[in-house]
Amino acid sequence: MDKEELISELKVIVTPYSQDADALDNISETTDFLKDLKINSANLVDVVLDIEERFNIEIDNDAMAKMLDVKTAVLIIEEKLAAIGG
Amino acid sequence: MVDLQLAHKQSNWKRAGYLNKLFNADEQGLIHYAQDPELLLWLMWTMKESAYKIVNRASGMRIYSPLSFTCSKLLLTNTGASGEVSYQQQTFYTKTDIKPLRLHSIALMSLNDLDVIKIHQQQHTNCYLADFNRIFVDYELSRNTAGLPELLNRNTGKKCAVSISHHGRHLAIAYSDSPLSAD
Repeated sequence: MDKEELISELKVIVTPYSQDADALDNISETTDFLKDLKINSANLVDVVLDIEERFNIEIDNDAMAKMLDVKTAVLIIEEKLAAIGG
Repeated sequence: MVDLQLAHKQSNWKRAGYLNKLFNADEQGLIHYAQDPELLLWLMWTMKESAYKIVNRASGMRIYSPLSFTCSKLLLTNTGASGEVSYQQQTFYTKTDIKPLRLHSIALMSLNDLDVIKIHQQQHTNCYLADFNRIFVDYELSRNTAGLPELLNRNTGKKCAVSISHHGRHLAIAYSDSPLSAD
């Protein structure tokens, strides 16, 4: 799965939690989950759980700590997928 | 600040894995055995968030690591709570105001500071800064270019410590005229 595909998968995942429709429409690598999409911090854990379920990966605490924007989320997903040979 | 009705709608805390990512075993025990598990969950969540805010302001570092913040020494009454949150080597002291539909926590680096903090709660509107300034004519609340709140005491010309938190319809402004340990 390339970066563009990952971002469009992420868009599907964050849609129910996003509170800024414009930022969601224009989602890109530089989009910040909290500052741009205005996702409530208590819902960021839902984004992490949804990513785990969708990609069948486990996001540990250290990885979750950094998962505040699309760019980092993509990197972490790629890393975890590579680790399991996906 | 947590709007309890909105949180109930927005978050399904019973989903698999949810609590494990936010709370350690002791904290989950408190939630499970609580009379009102959801209230205790959001109480500890706001404690962690308020302590994180201090760390974030002091270091500029952004992290999403609720498990790195540990709640302890929780004392709960019908209208409020107090407790401690530890992060690495630091301890933060928290105080929570509990209302039927919302709860609001503050965290401080010194127990003495808890007494000098004033808290004003109001509706979260698009013009909450102007709303505050209309009521508190001795103060001027604004946001700086970095997006952080600033509060000026017009009488003394001094800047006060201030922090704003909101969720749903509710907004709280915590401020102090005296310098705090964190300043």
